[in-house]
Amino acid sequence: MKSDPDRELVEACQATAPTGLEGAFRRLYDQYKDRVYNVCFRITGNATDALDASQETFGIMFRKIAEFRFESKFSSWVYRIAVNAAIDHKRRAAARWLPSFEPQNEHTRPAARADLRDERTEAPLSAATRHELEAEIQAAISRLSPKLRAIVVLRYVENLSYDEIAEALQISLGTVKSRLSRAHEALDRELTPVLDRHFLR
Amino acid sequence: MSERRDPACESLRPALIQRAEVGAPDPAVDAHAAGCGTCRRELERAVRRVGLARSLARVVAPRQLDGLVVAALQAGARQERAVRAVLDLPDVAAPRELAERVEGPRAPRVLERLVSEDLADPSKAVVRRYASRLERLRAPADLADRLRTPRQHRRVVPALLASLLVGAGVLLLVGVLVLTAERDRAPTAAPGPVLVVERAASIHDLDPAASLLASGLTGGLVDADRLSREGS
Repeated sequence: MKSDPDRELVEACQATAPTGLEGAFRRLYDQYKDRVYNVCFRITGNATDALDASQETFGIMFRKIAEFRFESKFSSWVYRIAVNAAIDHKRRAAARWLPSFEPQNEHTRPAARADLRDERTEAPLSAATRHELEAEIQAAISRLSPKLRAIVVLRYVENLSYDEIAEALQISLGTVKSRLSRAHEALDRELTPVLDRHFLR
Repeated sequence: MSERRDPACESLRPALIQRAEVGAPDPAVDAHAAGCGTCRRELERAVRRVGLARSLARVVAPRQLDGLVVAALQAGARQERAVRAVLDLPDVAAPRELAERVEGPRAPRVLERLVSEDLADPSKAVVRRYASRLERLRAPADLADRLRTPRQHRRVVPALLASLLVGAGVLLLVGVLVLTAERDRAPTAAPGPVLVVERAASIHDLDPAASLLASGLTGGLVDADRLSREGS
């Protein structure tokens, strides 16, 4: 068993059945809602699917929280549920997606541009260029395979360590490194035009 | 774009990525990159890729998610209650006929037996099958009465019949003897029939009965009535 910062809260949730967002469930939800939604948004690539995947994540989390035995960090468990829910949702959504004659991809869909705010990259790019760049990065991530997408999101969006990623995805440290290396290769192909456009002009 | 790298460059790649992520100097990577143009360029691109990936903004969960999660929890609670209600249902013993039904119909086994009988001895099988279908007769009611009646009583009717026959025989014998005695007492020369012959000179003088007899015997050629009318 490991020391877990969420232990007390999780144990409080385990003591009662979840019927609504009250007490410990509300605190746990508030603590994780942005992280879960963020992972789901970056993996699914749009707000609608992210919302559905987040709902599913919390549904599973609260339904199965009584079975959690602290064999890993609680946050790793939550990330694992969120990644799986988002990948499953993305796969289901892709199966439902009808082909269109309109040139359209995920970052041109309206929901994909929602809530992208970060002032760190404001200079020297203009706001319009920043939105465009973010959309292109998101599109590049969305074109990765689900496994590589998950590892890029956990590493660069959620800033998890290699060990945390290994625990969350239940893979070895070596697999984390090799997957990240492959993700960089794939991203290099996807982002070369973006890099050239935004950094060489 | 990725190029075909030297194995030494390839083995250093994870460390190169970490170097790009951390930004802190890594003696091994830096030394290699200093002498390898490919890895130096790759390090520069990796730093930019990491920067781009990290530049993605952290999105905030919309308020809408609260309501969806509450709905999911309530749905989960309802589902759990339903499952618990089903699990709490008392066990009901399976009826005995279920086992019989599970065993399956027996007709195929009967059919197999009939077919094998037909193949082994067709005539015998057919006779047995149809003989078994003949109507079973019920014993008549008087059989039971007969069985209940003592044996000597059952002989009354034949004994009575025998007595009657003996009586009838005796009467017949007596009758024969009486008739014989009467015949012995009667005169032996009984008067015979008297025959009278009359001669008629003409057919007209015939007795009407004789003329009719003559007409009949001749098929109508001798018609006494007509001749007598013509003569008169």
